[in-house]
Amino acid sequence: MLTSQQPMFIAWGPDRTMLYNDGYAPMCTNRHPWALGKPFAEVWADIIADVGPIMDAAYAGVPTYMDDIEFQMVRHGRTVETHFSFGYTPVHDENDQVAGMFCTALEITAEVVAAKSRTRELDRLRALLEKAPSFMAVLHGPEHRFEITNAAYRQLIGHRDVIGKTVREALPEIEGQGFYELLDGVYSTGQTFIGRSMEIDLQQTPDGPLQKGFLNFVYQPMYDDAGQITGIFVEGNDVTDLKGAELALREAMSVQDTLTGELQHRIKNSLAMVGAIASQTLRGEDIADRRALFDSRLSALATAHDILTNSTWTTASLRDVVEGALAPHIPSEDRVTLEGIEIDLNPKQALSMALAIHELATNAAKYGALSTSEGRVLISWEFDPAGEKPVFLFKWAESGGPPVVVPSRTGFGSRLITKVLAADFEGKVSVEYRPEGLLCVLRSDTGCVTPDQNLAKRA
Amino acid sequence: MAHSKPIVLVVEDEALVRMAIVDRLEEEGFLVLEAANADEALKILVNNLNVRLVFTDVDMPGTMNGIKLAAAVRDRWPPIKIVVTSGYKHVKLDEIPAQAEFVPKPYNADRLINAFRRLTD
Repeated sequence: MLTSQQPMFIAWGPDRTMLYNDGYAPMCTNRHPWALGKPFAEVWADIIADVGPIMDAAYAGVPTYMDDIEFQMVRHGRTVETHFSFGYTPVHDENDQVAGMFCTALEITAEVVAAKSRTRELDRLRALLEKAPSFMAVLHGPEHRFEITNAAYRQLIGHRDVIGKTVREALPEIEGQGFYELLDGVYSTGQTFIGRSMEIDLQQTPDGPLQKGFLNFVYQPMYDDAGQITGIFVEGNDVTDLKGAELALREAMSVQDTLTGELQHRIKNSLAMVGAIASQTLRGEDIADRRALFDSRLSALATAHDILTNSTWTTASLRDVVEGALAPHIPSEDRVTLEGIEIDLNPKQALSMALAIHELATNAAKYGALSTSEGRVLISWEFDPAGEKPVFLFKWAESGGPPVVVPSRTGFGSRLITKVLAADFEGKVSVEYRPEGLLCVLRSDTGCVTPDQNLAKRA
Repeated sequence: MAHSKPIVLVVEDEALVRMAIVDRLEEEGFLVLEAANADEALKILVNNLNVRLVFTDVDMPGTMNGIKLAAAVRDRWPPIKIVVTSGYKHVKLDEIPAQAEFVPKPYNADRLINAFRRLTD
C-alpha cells in the first residue's frame, strides 16, 4: 500500500490514527508529514463536520462510496474548494469488530473546476446567443451533440428538444440532404463551411410536415486550449422569403421579356398592316385624295388599337369598335342605329371589323345612304340559335339613300370586307346591292366568336 | 409545265397583310395560293404539286410555326423554294433550312417580287 500511486490511507484504532501512502501525501498539502500518525479528527479538523459522519459510519460497519464530495478545505492557510471521489471501507479485527477503516481517494478538484468553468462558459454563451436574430447552435464532439441552441434556432427546427442529442438523432429528416456530411467534414478537417441559399427540407413546426426552405449559414470549428477541435458553431439566417422574392423577381423579369417580345411583335404586325393598307391605297393618280383616304384608314386602325389597349389586348367590345370606326362618318345621331348584345371580339377581329366599318361608312358617305339627308344605316348583330351551333350574324343594312349602283370594279374596301373580315371571323361575307340600299352580311358559325360566353355575359 | 405562271403559296395568318401581298403577286403575274397557317399550307401542298415557292410568316397559330413549316417543306418537297419572313428579331437564321431565304418584316414588296422572280425563274 505504501508504494502505490493510488492515494490511500487507513485510520486505525479508537483514535482513528492515520497512516497514508505517498500518493495521498499531496492531498494533505502542508499537513504532510505532520499528519502521519495523527488522529483523523485532528488532521481533518477543518472538514470534520462533513467527513466525520462518513467516518463514523465506517466505524459502525457501513462502507461509503462517493463520486464527488466537495470540501471547503484549508490549504496553505487559505480555505479552498476541493473535490474528491473516494471509498471508505470498514476493516474488521479477528473478533469481527471494526478495528479501523481503509480509504482509497482521488482528488478530482481540477476536473470539477474545469467542468464547472466550462458550464459557466456555456451558460454565458447561451445567454449571449439566445436573443440573436440569426439562428445559432453549438454542437459538441465528433457526433455533433447539441449543447446550445438559441431562440431563432429552436424556431427553425420547430421547437424540438434537441439538447444532448446528436444531430442525427435530433434532426433525422435531413438525412440524405448532405448536412451531416458537411458537419463531419468541418469536424475532421477544421475547414469552415459557408452555405449560401442552401435548400433544406426541414420539419419547422412541431409534428408538422417537411417544409422547403433556403438557408445562409456557417459551420465553424471550435477549438480547446490545446488546439483540438471540440465542436462546431452553427450560425445562419433563413432566407426562404428572400429566395421567394428573388424567384418572383426573376419570373417577373421573364414575363417582362415575354411582354417586350410580344409588344415588339405587335408593333411589327401593326407596321405590316399599315404597309398593307398603304400598298392597297396609294395606287393610281389622284394622290391627294388617296392620302386622305390612307389617313382615315390608319385612323380607324388606331381607334381600334386604343380600344384594345384599354383591355391590354385581350378583347374589345364589338359595340365600342363599331362606334369608334363610325365616329368620323356619322352626320347625326339618328342616321345610324346600332342593335346588338354585348359581344367581345379578339384583337384580330376588332382590327378587321374597325377597318371594315370604316370602308362601309366611307362608301355610304360617298355613294350610299349617308350621302343624302334621308338615308339611314341599321347595324345589327345577333346569334341565330337555329342549327346545331349558334350562328353569329352581323348586318350592315342601308336604306333610304339614292338609287343603288353596282360598282364597276372591286376596290380595297370590298376586298377587305369579303376576304379579311371573313377570314378573321372564320366566316362568310356577302355584299348585296339591293334597290333600297346596300346590305352586307357576315355569318360565322365557328368557334371564333364565343357565343356561350357572350350569351352568359348578357344574362 | 402545266401552267405558264409560277405558283406561289403565301402562308400568313394576318388576313390584311396576306391580302396585300397576294394582290401584288397576282398583279405581277404569279398564280397565288393562300393559307392562314402551316396546317392549311401542308394540305394545299399535298394537293398542288406545281407549287414553286412557299412564302411563310414565322409566328402563326396552330401546331407549327413558319420555321417548322419551312423544315417540313424542305424535307418533303425538296425542289420548292422557301422564303421566310418575320417581325421577330429573335429568329435565328440557322433555324431556317438550307437554301431558304429570310426577309425581315415589314418587307418591301418590290424587292420581294424580284426575289420571287429570281427563285422561280
